[in-house]
Amino acid sequence: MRRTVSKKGVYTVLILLGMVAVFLLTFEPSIFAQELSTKDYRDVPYIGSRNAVWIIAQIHLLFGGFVLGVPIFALVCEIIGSLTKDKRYDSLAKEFTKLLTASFGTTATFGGILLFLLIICYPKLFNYLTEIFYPTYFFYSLLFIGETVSLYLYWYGWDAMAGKKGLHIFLGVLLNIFGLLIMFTSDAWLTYQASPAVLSSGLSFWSKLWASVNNPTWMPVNIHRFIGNIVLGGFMCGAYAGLRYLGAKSQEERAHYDWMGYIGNFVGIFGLLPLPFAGYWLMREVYQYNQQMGITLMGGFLSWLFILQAILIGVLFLGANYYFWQGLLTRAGGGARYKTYITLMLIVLLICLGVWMTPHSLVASLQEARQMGGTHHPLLGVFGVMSAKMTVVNLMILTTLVSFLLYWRANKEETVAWAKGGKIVQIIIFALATGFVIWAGIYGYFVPAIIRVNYLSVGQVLAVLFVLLTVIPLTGLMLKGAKVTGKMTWGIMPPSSQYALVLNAVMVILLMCMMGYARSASRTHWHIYGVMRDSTSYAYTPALGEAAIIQALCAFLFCLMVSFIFWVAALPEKKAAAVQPQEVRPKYFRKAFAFVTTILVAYTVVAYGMPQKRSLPPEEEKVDFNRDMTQKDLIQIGQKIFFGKGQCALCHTIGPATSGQRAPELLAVGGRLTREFMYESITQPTAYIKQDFDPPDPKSYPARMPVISKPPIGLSENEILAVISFLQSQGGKVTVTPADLKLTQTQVKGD
Amino acid sequence: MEMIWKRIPDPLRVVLVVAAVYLVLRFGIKPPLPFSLIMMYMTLLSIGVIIYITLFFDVKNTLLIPLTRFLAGEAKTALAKQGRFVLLIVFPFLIWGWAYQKLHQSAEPPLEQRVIHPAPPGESVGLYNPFRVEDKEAMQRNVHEGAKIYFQNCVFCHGDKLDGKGIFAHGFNPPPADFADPGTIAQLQEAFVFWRVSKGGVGLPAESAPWSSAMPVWENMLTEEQRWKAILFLYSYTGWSPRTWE
Repeated sequence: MRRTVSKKGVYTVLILLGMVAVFLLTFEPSIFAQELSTKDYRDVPYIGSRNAVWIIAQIHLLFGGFVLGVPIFALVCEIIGSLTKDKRYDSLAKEFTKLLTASFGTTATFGGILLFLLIICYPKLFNYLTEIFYPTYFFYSLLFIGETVSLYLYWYGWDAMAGKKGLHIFLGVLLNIFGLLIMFTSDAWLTYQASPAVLSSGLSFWSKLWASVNNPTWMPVNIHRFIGNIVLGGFMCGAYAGLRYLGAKSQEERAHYDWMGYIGNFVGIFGLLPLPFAGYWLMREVYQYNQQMGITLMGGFLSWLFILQAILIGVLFLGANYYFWQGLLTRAGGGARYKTYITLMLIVLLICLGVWMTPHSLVASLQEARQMGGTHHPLLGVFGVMSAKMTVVNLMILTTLVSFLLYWRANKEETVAWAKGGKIVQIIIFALATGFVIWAGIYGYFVPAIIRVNYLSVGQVLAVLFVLLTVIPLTGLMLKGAKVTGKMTWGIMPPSSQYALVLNAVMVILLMCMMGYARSASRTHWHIYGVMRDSTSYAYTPALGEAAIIQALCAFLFCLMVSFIFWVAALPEKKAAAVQPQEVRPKYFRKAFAFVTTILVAYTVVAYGMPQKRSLPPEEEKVDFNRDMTQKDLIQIGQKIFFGKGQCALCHTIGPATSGQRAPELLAVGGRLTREFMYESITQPTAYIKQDFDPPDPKSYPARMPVISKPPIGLSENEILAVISFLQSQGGKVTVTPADLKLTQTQVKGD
Repeated sequence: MEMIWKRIPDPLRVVLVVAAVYLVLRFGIKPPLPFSLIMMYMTLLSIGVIIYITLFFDVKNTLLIPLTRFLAGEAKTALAKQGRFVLLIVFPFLIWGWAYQKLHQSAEPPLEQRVIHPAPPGESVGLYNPFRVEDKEAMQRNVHEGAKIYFQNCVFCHGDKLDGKGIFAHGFNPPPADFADPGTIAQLQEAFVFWRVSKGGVGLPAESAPWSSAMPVWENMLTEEQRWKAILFLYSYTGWSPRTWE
């Protein structure tokens, strides 16, 4: 038996070596043969530079999320353990920190590969970012050293510092602070690409750097990722426990991992509840920064992605609740007592999910569309808009809370005198919140979008938060000194519940992969939005199906590597345990493997069921100033430049700004300013600054107007003239005519 | 009624619920739901059924073992024997039906999955309607002019009640937009509507193809002012206000 296994291994190695050899033989070493020259791009053979960077970055990010999420999780468990003197929490925290040390190296490795890939494949972009951000690279390195040292001390000092728990917890806090700052730093680089701050030559180096770091989407992404990492940490802990539970050889082991899975699921769920908030804030900032990007995400090209997202989050909610329910039925020995409640909650969740997943415009055949009178169904069409979605998501959160409360109170009988009153108060709070959520959802159809977004949706979320913040502490108080009526038996959960834990982890991983794609895709064909265009052949945005293949691949590779780390980390115990006689280990791994693969394949199939459209970069327009041109043509060219290459519209609005005014608005500017003054303002912006212009929030946009005739925008003389003619057409007499153009300058390339 | 419901064995109840939901979705809602939506709801329901079954049933003993026994075990009862014969005959027919469905050429055009609201190009974002003015009298005049433009150009498809039921509407797929619906112009910014009107069905970006929309490219036929005024009328008549950010 042993022989065949090793033979198998030899074959595998031979096949792998053969593949490497074939790769090397067929590989065209074009990148080595080049003479030394400055290149904008280099490609990666076979898979393409974009896909290579995509996969490596995604895996790096998943590991990063894991490595940042787990310490938060471990620290909280350790603190709880030291407060409650419950040894289980401490050993749980320790077990997870052990996984952390192995994952930490993997994260760094993928970070290194990513860095190399960026330098190799996107040198122009990388140089540009380095030019702005290089001081942060030093900062990042220092943080990394700090993180490494504190992690090693935290892990290796665990037992040594058992007597000095305070010091050890302090180390844990330090570890988390370093981790958080590392994430904040790298977030600055990537959010800058999506929402670059306007940098002018008038700024000092440091204020430029800070403006770039503190760009509009930086903080929202930081917060969103911070919470997301906790969710990932929690659900990964759940999946780990689930796998170990399935492979457990003794009842004691099962009980331990059953409890661990419960804690992981609990942390994951409670991290998940505030996540929509953070996402909401991020989307608002995106809209405020650039409406086009907002529309691309929510209404345009990526809108179908949010149906996919709804499916994934829906499955996650179902999985988490399913796990609670299984706990009620088995651990708490509830059985038939809870059947009605559970069935009811299941129905509520399914209905909410159905509403959430209903698209606004339905996929219908000609005849069906005729019968409906359009692609909106007169009855169910109302489910397609935001008002309905917000309502059902909040209802799902409330239902999940009920699941949790039922589980918490199972087998307990309140002994406090005011228990009855407390229960009534809880029911009233629930009823009021549910009523309000539904009312606001319906009322949302009858008010302008802005009132819905600003008041009703926020009100709904606040109502749910109010329930969370009142009912949970109230229950805690009510259960103080409660009489235990039944035993909570750990370690008797059916295997299906453990697969639910694995499912939840895979859902979170897939969600991270998918939203990573969404974040990158929202930049469309730009490396740096509005500043540096992607001019490779990969500038298009892949369709949902194509993207899902890569996402599923990333998720698969990540799961594979994480399970390898789980396995390695468990090796020492195996040796210790081998001496004792034990049950035969069930063949759980291949089942779990098949399960995960099935989920990923199913996800890809569903993604292919959505509309498959690539978003192609717009054709690069060439502005030819030499052709015959009418006055109207010139104004139109000017308008294009104003909103496009010139980037004027990033700050200046024509008419009052709908969000934070960054620069004087230009309504009817043609009547207000002379041609010469406009020219001066464009070429020497700081010569005269409009005095009554008082930006409401100078901190958010500290940069002053850049010199438009110089890089990075660098408009040519003719282009500036065209812009002035457009501005003059806004409520003034146009004096810049095609005759003013300098025809000696041939063919200016519009970008 | 309740008595009967309680007497029905649990598995049968699940089947009955699934069937009932399907029948309601298929026949209970007027106008009928599109097949794609029914499929989606039924998929969701089957996930629910799996959850329900694994929670409350002993899956192995009540489902898997009887099923394998029926398919592969010794057929002891007459029902099991005949049931297998029936399956033997029905199963190929099912496969045949499925294959026929797949290969059958239908006169129906293929289903369209479209991106309904593609992102407009940069120069069309953030524009605002120059005729939406504070002065009530001037506003009324603008709306009135917009109405004229609407009834000279748009009414044939979008209808005199702006509900997308103009005299030509029945000939088009996709049908003209119903502006009275809370899901159309009420969800959009004026700048977006302006861009859509200007480009019609033809001039939209490739990502939202296939656009078989017959809407003309109005920027070739109406001036900028006329388009803005017509839009002003759309909002004024339906009572919606355009979407704004802040």
